[in-house]
Amino acid sequence: MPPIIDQDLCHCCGTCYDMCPQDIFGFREDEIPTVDYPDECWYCGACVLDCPVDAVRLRLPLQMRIVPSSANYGEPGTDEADALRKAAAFSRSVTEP
Amino acid sequence: MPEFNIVEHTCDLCVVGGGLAGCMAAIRAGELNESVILVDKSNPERSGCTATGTDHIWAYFPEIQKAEGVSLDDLVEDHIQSLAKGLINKEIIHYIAATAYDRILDLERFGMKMRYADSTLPGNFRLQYQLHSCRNTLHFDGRDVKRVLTEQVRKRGVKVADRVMINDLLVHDGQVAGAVGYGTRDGKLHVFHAKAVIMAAGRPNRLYKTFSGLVFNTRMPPALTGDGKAAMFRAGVELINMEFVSIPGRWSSKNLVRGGGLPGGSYQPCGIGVNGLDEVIRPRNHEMGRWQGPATPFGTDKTFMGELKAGRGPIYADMSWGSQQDQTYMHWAIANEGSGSCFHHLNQQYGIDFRKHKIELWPLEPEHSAAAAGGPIIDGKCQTSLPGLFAAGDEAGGVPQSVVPGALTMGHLAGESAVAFAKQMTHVPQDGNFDTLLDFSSQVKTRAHGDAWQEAQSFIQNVMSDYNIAYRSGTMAQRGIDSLAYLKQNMRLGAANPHEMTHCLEMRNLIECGEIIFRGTIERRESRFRIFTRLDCPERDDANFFCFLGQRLEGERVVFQKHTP
Repeated sequence: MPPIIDQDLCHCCGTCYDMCPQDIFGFREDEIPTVDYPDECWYCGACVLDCPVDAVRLRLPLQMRIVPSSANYGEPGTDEADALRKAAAFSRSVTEP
Repeated sequence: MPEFNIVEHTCDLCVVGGGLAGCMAAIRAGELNESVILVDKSNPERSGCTATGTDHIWAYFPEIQKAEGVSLDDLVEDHIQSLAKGLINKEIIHYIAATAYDRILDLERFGMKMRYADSTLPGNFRLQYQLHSCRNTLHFDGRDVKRVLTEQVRKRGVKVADRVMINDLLVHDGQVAGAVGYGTRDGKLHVFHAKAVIMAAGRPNRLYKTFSGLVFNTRMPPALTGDGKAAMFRAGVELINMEFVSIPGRWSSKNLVRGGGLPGGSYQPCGIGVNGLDEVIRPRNHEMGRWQGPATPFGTDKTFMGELKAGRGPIYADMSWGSQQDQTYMHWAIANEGSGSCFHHLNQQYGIDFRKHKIELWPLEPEHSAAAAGGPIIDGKCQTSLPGLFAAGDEAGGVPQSVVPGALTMGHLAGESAVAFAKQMTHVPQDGNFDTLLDFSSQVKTRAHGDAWQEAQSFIQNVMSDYNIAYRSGTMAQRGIDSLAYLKQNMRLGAANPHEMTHCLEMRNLIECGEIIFRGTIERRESRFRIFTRLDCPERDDANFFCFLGQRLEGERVVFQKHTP
C-alpha cells in the first residue's frame, strides 16, 4: 500500500484523508485511516507533508523504483561544467523528439 | 430512477475548480462580491497541478529585464513567436506578461517567501532562464501555495464546496445559469444556481496510456479528467485547438514519474543531460548570480529522443555537479516543485543520492496542454462564447505556455469580469436542465452487476494511444470516433459507492474529450510544428489553417469555425 501509516504515531486526526487529492483514504472518527484505493495514489506526498505527527511514509511498488546508475560527479568548486559547456553547441530546444 | 439527494446552492458567482486559477478567481471575486462559491473535486488546499507546490513562475521583472535591454513588448513578442509560433491569443498573453508581477506581489502579501538575501539581483529575486530569452523565471517557496491561497479564499467570505465534481453547466435563455455536480463522498447531486460561472478545471489527463503502465503514475494530476471541457462542450460552448497535443508530453525520471523539468528547470544549476556513452547532450546552467553566458543556455544540438533513436541511449539526468551552494539551491527548488518534496522523501527511503546517482529519463504520455493549449475560446476578459461563462488557466484555449502566471493572472481577470457580469443581472436564474447527467448517473447507480470503470478507462486509453499518436491521420481519427461510439453504446458501468461513481462520470468526460480531439484532427488537414502531426497531411498549411479551429455543439450537429489569432 503506497501510504503506510505508523500506528504508534497516528492520532486519528484524519488530515491525510482531508488532504488527499485522489481520495484514496477511508476515515472514521477516532480510527486510524485506511488506504482504500492504493492503486489510485498519485505519489504527490500531501499525506506525508501534512501529517502533523509525521506518521505517514510512502512505499513505492517495485515497478516505480528508480534503478540507480553512477553519476559522473563533477568536482565541487571547479569549472569542469564550463569546459563541457564550451565544447557543446548551443541551441534553444532540447527535449523535442 | 433511484433517488438522488439533491442539494441546491445559490450564489452570484460559481467558480469551478480550486486550482491556482480558480483560487485566484475566487480571491479577486471575493473582494468584490459577497456571494461566491468555489467548487473543487478534491480539497483546494492540495488540488490541481500545484497540489504539493510549484517552484517557478515567469513574469516581466522591470528592473532586471530593462537592464537586459528587454521591454515588456519584447517579452510578449518572444512568447508569441518563439513559443507559440504566432498562434496565440495576443490580448491575453500581453495581459499575462503585464500583470504576472502584480500577482507575485499578491503571493508575497499572502505570506509567501519570494525574496532571498543571497540574490544579487534587484528585488532579491532568485531568477533563472526557462521559457524565454531573458532571465525571468522566479524560483520561490511555493510548496504550500495551495494551502496559502485557500486560506485567502476563505478569508474573503467565499464558500468552499469541496469534494464535488462538476459534471455539467446549466444554461438558460442563451446564457449560463450555473453548474451541477456530484459529491465524490456524499453521493449527492449539488446544483449551483449562479449569475456567472468561471470554469477553471484544468487540463484533460488520463487520456493516454502511460509508459509505466500504471494509470495514476503521471506527471500531471490524474484527478483532472477534462471535466470542464466536456461540460462546456455539452453546453454548446465553442472549444478551440483540442486536436493539438504535445508528444511526448515531457520527459521525466523513469519508473517514478516526477515533474521539475529534469535536468533543467528545478534541477538547475546542478543538472546535465548525458547519454549512454556519458557524452554531455545538455550542459549545466551556471550558478545563479554568476551567469554571464548567452541568452539561451539550454542544450546542445542534440535532443533526448534523437539520442535514443541513434542507439546512444539511455538518457540520464546527472545532478552531481556544482558547489555545495548549488546543490542546496537545487534541493530547495525541487522541494518546492509539485511532488518534489515527495521525490526527496522517496529517494531518501530508497537510497538515491543525486551526488552519487544519475537518474534515467524517459518520455511521458502526450499532453493536451502547455504548448497545445486546447479549450474554450476566450475574449480579452476571459469570457467564453457563452455569456456569463468565463475560463481561466489551463482550462482556457489559445494561450500556449501560459502555465503558472497564466493561471494566476487569468484567474484574477476572470474573477473581476465575472463579478462585473453578475452585477448587471437582477436575479439568479433558477432554471437549467441536467437530465442527461441524471440519466447517466441513475443508470450507473442502479446497475446490479455493472462493468467496472477501469475497463472503460483502458478502452479509452487504447483508442487514444492507438489512433491519435504515431499513426495519426484522418481515417485513423474516424476509427477513433467509431471506437468511442462503440464504447458509449456498449458500456454498462456500475458503481458501488460515490468514489466509483466519480470514476464512471470521469469516463463520460474522457469520451467527450476524445471525440472532440478526433473531430478536430479530421477537420485540421495539415501538420503544424510539434503540436499537430497528420501522416496523410504532412505539410503545414498556413493559408487554410493558421487559425484557432473551433468546434461547438448546435443541437445534434457539431459546427466548425476558424478564428484568426
